[in-house]
Amino acid sequence: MLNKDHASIRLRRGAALVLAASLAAVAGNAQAADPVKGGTLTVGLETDVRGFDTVKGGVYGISGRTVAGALEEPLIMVTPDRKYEPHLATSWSNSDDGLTWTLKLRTGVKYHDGSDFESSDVAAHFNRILDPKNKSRSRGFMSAIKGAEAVDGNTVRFTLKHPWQAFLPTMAGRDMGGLMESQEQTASGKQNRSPIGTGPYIFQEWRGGDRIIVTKNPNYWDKDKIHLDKIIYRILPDTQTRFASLIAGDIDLIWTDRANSIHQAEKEGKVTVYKQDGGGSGLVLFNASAPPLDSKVVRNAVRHALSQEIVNKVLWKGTRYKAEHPMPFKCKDVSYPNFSTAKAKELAAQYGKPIKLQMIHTTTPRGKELGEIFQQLMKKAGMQLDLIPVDQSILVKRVFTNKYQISGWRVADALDVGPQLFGLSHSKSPYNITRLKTPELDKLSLAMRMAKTMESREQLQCDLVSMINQNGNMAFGPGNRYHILLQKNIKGMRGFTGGTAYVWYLWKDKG
Amino acid sequence: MRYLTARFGHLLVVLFAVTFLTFMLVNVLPGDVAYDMAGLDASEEEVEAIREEIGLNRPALLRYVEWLGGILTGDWGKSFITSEPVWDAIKTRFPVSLELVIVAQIMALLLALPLGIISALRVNSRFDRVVAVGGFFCLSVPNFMMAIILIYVFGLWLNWLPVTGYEPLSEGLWANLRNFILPSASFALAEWTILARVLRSDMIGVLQEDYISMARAKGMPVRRILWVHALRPSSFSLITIFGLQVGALIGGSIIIESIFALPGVGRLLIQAIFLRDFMVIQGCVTFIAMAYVVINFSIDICYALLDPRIRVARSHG
Repeated sequence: MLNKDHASIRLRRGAALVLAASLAAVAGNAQAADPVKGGTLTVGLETDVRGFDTVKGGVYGISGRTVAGALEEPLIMVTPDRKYEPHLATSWSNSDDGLTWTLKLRTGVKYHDGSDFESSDVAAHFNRILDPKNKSRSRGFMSAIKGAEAVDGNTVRFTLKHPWQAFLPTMAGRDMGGLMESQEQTASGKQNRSPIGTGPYIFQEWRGGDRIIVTKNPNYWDKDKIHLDKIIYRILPDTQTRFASLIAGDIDLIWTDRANSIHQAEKEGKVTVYKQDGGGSGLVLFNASAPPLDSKVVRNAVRHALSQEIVNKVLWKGTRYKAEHPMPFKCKDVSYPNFSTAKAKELAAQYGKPIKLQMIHTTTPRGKELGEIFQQLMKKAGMQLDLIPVDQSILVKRVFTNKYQISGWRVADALDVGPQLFGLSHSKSPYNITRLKTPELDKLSLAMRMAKTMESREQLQCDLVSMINQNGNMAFGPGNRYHILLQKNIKGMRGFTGGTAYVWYLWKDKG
Repeated sequence: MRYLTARFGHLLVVLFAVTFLTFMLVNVLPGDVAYDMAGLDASEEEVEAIREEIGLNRPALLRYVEWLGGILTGDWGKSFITSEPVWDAIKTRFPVSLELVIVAQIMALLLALPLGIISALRVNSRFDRVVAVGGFFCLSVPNFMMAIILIYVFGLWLNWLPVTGYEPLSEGLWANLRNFILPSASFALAEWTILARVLRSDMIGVLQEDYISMARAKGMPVRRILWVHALRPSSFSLITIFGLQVGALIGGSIIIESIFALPGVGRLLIQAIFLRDFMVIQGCVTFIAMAYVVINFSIDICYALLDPRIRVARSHG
């Protein structure tokens, strides 16, 4: 029995996920002064939220997580250095056979409507997601869970289909159904637009397309950590507008992946730029189901011809980092095929026939630029790449319906990217979109999925990525690096996961 | 009454044509909203389930008829993306677009009326030429460029006005209006030129009428002649243009609302287009078409109020 009472499990080994310099600066920032109580924080969101009902609202993006995190909470909190700490659950344990997880819940926690937070709420929440009739988008991410049951008022037991070390990351996740919502509000059909949770802030108003306003929860169970009276989330989809609003002082905090804004903010120094590396990465898919990419030699020729460093330099203007794999932890060696035009030429010659390929890319400036970079790099290696610009949804459709050769994609940032790696690798998975099907990949992905400890699961993820890199059916990188831009008087910024700033812990310095 | 009935008939034909064409065009747009909704990690089965749920598997014509039936009973449908009822979305955003248009047109009129009248009074003077040059300069700058210039000068450099945002009137008149000054000025700085030139042209003709000469001969003050006796007969073209501009601004506020992050119908429409949220696109287009028709109808009524001869002519067929 792996008992969890002695604090949190340290799941990640190796180097820190977070940029050390950023964290040091943040730690200094957070500790420099006593938190100031009161005030309103205005946060610029890039999209409106689809809703707060896990089933109806789908899976949160960064905007959704940033709002929902103030209203609803997960059972387990993950720290920036990936330690799992008690939150709505105070302890947890896994059975010896790995098939049962039992969680003790915090007592005295209340929903915003005054009702008690109990184990029956947790069981109902997860069983609702797991019920195929509800067609929840979150179901696919937690399909290893058979069901949940309330053992007593504050104990909940999860039964699994097989040992599954992704359980804790799933419970700590903020985008895959991990946030506890009021079952009463959900049953009445109001949760999606008028959310009720146990979080530090209470939903006040949602002016569609304009703003969402939340106010401090006076009965919050951990109220000492909460300082602001109100948070206003303003929906500002245009990146330039969002940045200009921050510089003009209309809003206090934004996040952006626009290199020009990041560099301008760093150069001018009017606002603080907070950086943090995340999990997940860019991804290029090579369809292995048809010639010439069914040949490992061709795939590897293309892989060596491409350079994520050049993509980072040209497309992202250096705001990302080189990632040999998408996991949020380090691996010793993942057989990453480094950029080498000479090696690419050598492999292309070994193939013996001219290599002509097509790449589908989105019609966005970034999509076009990515295609053009690849086209030039492959030309240097003596290969021809024709570009086919398509709409984003057409691109997705063509990938799923096997009508492509090369396409841009991504591994979404997550505390555990194992489910995505499994989907991309296992021959029976509908998400095996490169269509490379080998017994070795099947064996390794299954072993990873059913690993009994997190250490072995992580090692098997490294092994799986190594095998993918050798097969050349996917190219990882560059890695996700998040940039939060905030006014200088906003304090208390701490590390986060999944690109989501924990804005509900911030305070506003009066100076 | 017969005239009103005929106009109402035209209104229905226009609305039917616009809604039908929009529905069909949106359906042939490249892309698939089900894939957008499902996201990159969804399986084909999940995409198919979404398509089934939102009815995309049924023929477009059948869906149009159902949508039309819903509109007639007050049900504008729901957003595919947020589940927000379309009518609620439009209802909450329309006051923003309307206020933007009203403030923009008031600004345009405040510039156009005095400048147009004085230019007519002092034809070919230095003042007239300066107004003409300034007007054509404003007209030649696209409104999105004007918006960026205004943001830079008044928002970022002088820091006098907010760059983005919207506060409802309930937060106070100034809190509300200060957010509309820059976006409205982006429109008004182009619109006033046309209004002023039209007014100037019409007023030059009116000022040469015998009854104006008579008023002058009687020693009536120039201000009274201009504002009381010359302005009304000079404003037919002005009202026509004004009406067309109001209609165009309601539909054309997409860019300005996006730049200034104003939560109006234009921004709702552009977001819906990017997300292929058919129901919202359809609702917005229908609403804007209705607004156009109603405005034009109102302009016709204004003509009749301003000139009794029109009223009489129309009542006699």
